[in-house]
Amino acid sequence: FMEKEVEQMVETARGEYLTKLSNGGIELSCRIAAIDWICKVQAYYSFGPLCAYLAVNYLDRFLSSVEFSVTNDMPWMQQLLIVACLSLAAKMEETAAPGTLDLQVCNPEYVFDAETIHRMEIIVLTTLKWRMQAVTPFTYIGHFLDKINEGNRITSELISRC
Amino acid sequence: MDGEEAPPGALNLADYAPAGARTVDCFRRIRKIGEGTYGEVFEAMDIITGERAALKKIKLDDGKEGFPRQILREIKLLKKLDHENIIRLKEIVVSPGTAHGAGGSDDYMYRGDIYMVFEYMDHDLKKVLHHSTPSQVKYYMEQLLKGLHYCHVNNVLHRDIKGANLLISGGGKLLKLADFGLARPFTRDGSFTNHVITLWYRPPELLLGATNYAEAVDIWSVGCIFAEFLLRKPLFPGRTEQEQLSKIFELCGFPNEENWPGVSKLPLYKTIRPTTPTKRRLRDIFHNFDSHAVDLIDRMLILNPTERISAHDALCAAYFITKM
Repeated sequence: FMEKEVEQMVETARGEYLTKLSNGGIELSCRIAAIDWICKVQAYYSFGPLCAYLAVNYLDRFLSSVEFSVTNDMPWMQQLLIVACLSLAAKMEETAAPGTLDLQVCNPEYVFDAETIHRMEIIVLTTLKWRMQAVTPFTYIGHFLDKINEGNRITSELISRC
Repeated sequence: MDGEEAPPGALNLADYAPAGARTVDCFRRIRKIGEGTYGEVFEAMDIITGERAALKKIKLDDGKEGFPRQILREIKLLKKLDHENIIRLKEIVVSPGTAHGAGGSDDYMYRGDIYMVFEYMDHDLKKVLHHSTPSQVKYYMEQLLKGLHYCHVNNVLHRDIKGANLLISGGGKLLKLADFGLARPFTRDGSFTNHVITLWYRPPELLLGATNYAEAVDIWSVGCIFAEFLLRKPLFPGRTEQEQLSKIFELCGFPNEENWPGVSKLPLYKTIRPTTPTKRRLRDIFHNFDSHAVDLIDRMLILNPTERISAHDALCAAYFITKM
């Protein structure tokens, strides 16, 4: 189990990706724009926070594990990747996820047909080796809440105090 | 929606080799094992290791949903579950995109097929359900409950326990739960669809329209299978939901607020009418069998889901402690 986690961490934190990001290269502006759009869609459809977090997790892991050098000459590629990541995250976490066409709200620069998104989803899935269940800070919230509350049922009063 | 259309076909799967992903070419197809709503299943052999495997081809419809959510969830659950009585998902392979070279206008639309690779199992339980010895039955029931207990501890409901989804291998020694296509994680106050579980094995709370249910739904199915083992025929072979309910009530008695508090608030309770007799007479049809086995069936097929025995308690029952 630990081995798997380490493998995933290494992928995400592979030096070059962080260096590229901190150098303020194309990836950084791409990432900022991506997170901005993801948050807008999240608000539009009232998705949970885990959904947005997962989408960004997929994006980071994808960008760090492939040579994604097409960002300059194919700007639509960025948007397609982001839509695919968000679509997958929504299907993993949300009870009712909109169709891939309806997901493209909040004035994206490009709009893709369902077929194209579907294929991009498969590329993302295979690149991430089908590991779509990332360990996130959210994983621990329930556990800590339980500890704080000494194993009693969680009340709305407790949540409002947090 | 505004914005520019992306150039069609600019994204070609064939040009793109996902890092590390194996293709279906790593397997030699031996024969088709089955086909269902989910797609086709093949027996195949890993060309490199010589290991046998079952390949489940994922049916990709052209709906708006993109990659099917059901499959995503099944993969997520299977990757989480690791137990000797649960089928193991070994890997996921794609078919190489260049396979469609024959031209045609929609050539560029081709997406590679996706296969889930499972460990190979000899056959399903349906095949032996009506001719197993008492000691085999005990052996299968124990493994079924162990696998199910593991699912429930991990907050997963299987929601489709039936003979065809229980696979046997190792010369009839090993049983594994398979087909998690309907399974889902559950929470205490969740609300789910009640259109799950094959009719014959569907519990009364689902037939009465409950959307807030828990582990007990799987236990009812296990009880039906257990009874079918002994009787050598299905216990409740209903053809419609109505008939299914009357068959259940005929043996288990009619539900009321006394034996099942809250039942009258279920959506479809008003649509049912008591039939005669309304007394529970489930044990009467099993008078020739091992009394410990009948005790356990009796506790699995309790109408009120909150009183139905859990997988854990079932494994501690006298039936499993006594030697055959």
